[in-house]
Amino acid sequence: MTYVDSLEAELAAAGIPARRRARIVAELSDHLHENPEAELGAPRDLARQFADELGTRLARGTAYRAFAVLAVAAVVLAVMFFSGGRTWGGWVGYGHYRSSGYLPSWWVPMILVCFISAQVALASGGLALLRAWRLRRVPVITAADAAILNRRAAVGLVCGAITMTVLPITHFVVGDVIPRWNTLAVAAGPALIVLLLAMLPDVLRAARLRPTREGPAGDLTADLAIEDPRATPGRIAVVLSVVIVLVMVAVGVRSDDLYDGILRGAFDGAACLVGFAVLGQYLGLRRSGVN
Amino acid sequence: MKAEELKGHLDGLILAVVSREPVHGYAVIESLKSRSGGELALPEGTVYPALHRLEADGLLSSEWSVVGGRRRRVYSITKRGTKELGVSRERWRVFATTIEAVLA
Repeated sequence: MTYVDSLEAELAAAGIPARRRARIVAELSDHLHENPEAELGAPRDLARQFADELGTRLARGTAYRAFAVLAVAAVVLAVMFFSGGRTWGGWVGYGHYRSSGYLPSWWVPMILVCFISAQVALASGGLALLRAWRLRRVPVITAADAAILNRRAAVGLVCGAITMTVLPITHFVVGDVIPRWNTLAVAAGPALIVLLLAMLPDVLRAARLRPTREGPAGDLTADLAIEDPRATPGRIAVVLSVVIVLVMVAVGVRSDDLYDGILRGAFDGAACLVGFAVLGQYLGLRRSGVN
Repeated sequence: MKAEELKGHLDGLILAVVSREPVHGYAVIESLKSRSGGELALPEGTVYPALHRLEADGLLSSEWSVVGGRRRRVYSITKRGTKELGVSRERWRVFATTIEAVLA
């Protein structure tokens, strides 16, 4: 087996995509043709170096792009809710849904899934951005960090797509009641689903091409650059939940609907804690097997 | 000079070589050797991952050419790369001046 053959096998083992692999092999073959005695290093070491350099950029870039797409989806969602709120004459709350007789019962669990997936998508995408930004100057990130970045991007994109799937359905259910939603729901929903799902191949590529560097990934406190040992990820989640409750109650009071505010605040605050409990380890918010 | 001592400077060195004219990987290594009087003898393989990274960062661009029937990847510096090279040079000037002031 020649040096180039060994290198090609090691590059494949390191997750370097076929096209990039062919390019590297061609470049190194050219190098060896120029100088057959060249010392290029062990094929495995060289392949790992490529994986480290390219995997770091791919993981970070995927996180940035996933967040960008999710941000567009978030803007669309926000516009829908504000326009819906104006049409209804107040804040769009659960009380309105419940008291309004024109909404079918099967739609309620669907919209709850939409609310939850939207929040998970935004939280996950935001956390992906946060970690990518924190590691922006690190030449080679650890395999654990790359895994966390990919997971956050993947969860954000999938949950974003779920949220956007509900929008066209929403059109058929409440389109007559909230006309402003029509255009956005029909046009933006499917377009954003395509946009979000189009990012998934990037996530898969990043999952295959991971840096080989060992080391911990850190948790939510590392993301937020908090060094106070009292600020554990669990405590941060509790504080965030309380803040969410207070904000939603305040919004409810401002909309002359305290009941809605309390209901929404309790739901969103609880959703934050449940999300932390269920996805905390997987998304690297607290210590896990990968970090 | 050992490879370890070049850490942090490799990108600037590569950009400086490529900024003169479009070159392929082997020529980058040879240029580093000749311009440093043989002092910059890097493990040759390490230059290629760096070239790919610099291209991924938009500091270099590359294209295939055919030489003697063989495909050869030729690298050129981009506008961003030229700007980054200026930053690297300035950073090195400050670093070298500071160290010189202390050691002298």
